[in-house]
Amino acid sequence: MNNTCGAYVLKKRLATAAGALFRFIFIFGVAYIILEPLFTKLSMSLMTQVDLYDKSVKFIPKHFTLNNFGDAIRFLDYWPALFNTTALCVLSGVLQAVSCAAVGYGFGFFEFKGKRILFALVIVTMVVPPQLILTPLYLNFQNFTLFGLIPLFNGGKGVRLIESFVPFVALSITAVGSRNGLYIFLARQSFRGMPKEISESAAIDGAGPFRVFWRVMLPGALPVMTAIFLFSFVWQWNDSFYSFLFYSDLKTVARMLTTIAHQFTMMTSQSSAVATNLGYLSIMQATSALLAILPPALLYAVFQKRFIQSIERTGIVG
Amino acid sequence: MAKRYKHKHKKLTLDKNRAGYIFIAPFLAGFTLFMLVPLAQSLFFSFNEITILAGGGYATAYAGIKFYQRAFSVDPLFRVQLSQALQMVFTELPVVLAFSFFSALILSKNFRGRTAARVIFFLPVIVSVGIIASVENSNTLFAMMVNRDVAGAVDAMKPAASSMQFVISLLGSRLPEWLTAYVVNAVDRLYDIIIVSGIQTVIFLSGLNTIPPSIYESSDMEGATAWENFCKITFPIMGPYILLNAMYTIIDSFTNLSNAVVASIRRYIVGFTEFSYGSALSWIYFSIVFLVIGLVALIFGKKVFYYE
Repeated sequence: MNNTCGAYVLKKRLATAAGALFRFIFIFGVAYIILEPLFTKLSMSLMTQVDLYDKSVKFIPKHFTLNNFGDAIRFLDYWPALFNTTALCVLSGVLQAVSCAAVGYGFGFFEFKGKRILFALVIVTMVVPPQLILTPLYLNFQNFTLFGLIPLFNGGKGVRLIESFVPFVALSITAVGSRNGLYIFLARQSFRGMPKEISESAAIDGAGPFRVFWRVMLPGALPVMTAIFLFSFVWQWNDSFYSFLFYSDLKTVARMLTTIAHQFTMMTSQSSAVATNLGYLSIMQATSALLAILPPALLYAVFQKRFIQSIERTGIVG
Repeated sequence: MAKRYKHKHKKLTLDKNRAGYIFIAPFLAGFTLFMLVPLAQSLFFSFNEITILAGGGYATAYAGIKFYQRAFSVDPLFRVQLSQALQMVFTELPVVLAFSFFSALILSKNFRGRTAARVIFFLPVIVSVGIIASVENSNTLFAMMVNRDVAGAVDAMKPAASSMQFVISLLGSRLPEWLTAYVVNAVDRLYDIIIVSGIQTVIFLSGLNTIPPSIYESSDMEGATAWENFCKITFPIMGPYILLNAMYTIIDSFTNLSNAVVASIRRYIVGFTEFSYGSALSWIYFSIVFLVIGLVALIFGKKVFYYE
């Protein structure tokens, strides 16, 4: 009896140890694959070109330099671009977090006629690819008439809304910006599980539906709103296409990143050693990519705890 | 008296429900203005020739199904790109789902360093989307040119894939060829798969957290093994999340910039040269996407069990 018991314990322990080992290998491997390109970029950004062609150099540069960062900042026009992009991302992130939370609250907390059908529309927005509506959207913003209403007031012409933040604001406050369907879905999940008693007792105390939402519900939804803000910020940060379409004069980090190769060929077209330039270009691209991902990465580091908490929270209430 | 009370109660709930409409009103306005109208317009454009007027605005002339015909009979690339896109989605989908589900399972357990592991696993959601990925590609090109593995990961996968092929050829000469090819291909594209699986892992993880621990406790009491727990509890409860993730992966893959069809649609539309043809292409492409999504929803939707 004792013997079988010991064998059982041993078996169980072995299984746990094997599981832990397997888990470690899996996590280590994936972490390596995710982090390796970042490390490579970092090491490249600290190299001079000589190191790039030197096969004995692995990761740790022999000719250490910080000049690349200065050059990359110049290429990217980094500081103005950083300011523009941050303004745009914070603006649309905050607006989307609030609007998606409100819509998610409407869907998650109330029972009204046609709710299922209306929620199906949210799913439709998730499924409709942006490319399908981009052209008309551009044309509409270029000459905004609001179903022909605006020309009635100012003499036959629409308003030109592109080349400003207006299209981004309009899409964000109406919760139909990019991937907002997913955000509404997340917010709805989180509100669905909130206890109805809280809002009822607040209503008995005389709070209207908006007071209840603003004072009682939103604080409870802070984790999911953080997640929405973070997703939206990051998506906007990496986007160069929407911002190009709606506000082509605005220099954003992502857009500048795409132009580096082009700028580079313009600048060095007179020079002869193409391969050498290519090495430098490669270093510049790695450095600029690092500079470009630095702000969202910092943001992620700050919000990381909240973000993961929000995942657990949305989970608990599912 | 009682009747009046009941009436009042009904009115209260009605008021409360009306507030629901107010909260979703912005979305309904946005949906109409920035989704429904543009959709109708782009359908209209695809049947019309468009000229942009100098002072803003545009003029149209009816063109029939000219642009649709062009896509199938004249355009040499479209059909090839279309079949490639479809192929890519269906090869990628199972791998992405399996990988993200597995990652979520591992990350949901309690172990030391879990927070660090989660931070790293979600990193691709934050840093490696869109434009940065394209920079990575051009770096790879350079790496190939100077024959050095500067963009490491991608190249580093190559020996792994070939040794994988070797292992498979040793173990399973009885395995069918297509299966071997599929596995090798999946391993080959490991980097891409990990990069696109971020959000799916997040969604699965939040799904796993919905399962109350008490269920596992009672099933452990009954003597269920870990495998039985997984098959009988975890997997069925995760059904809706698997469906959601399948949808998300399909849409993501179909609308991804690296997709050749999307790239060519974008070229036509962004140049503002061939608006109508671009619209026609996107309608063809996306009706196929809708069809695929509908099929997936139909097939898997029936099998999904909604746990409340």
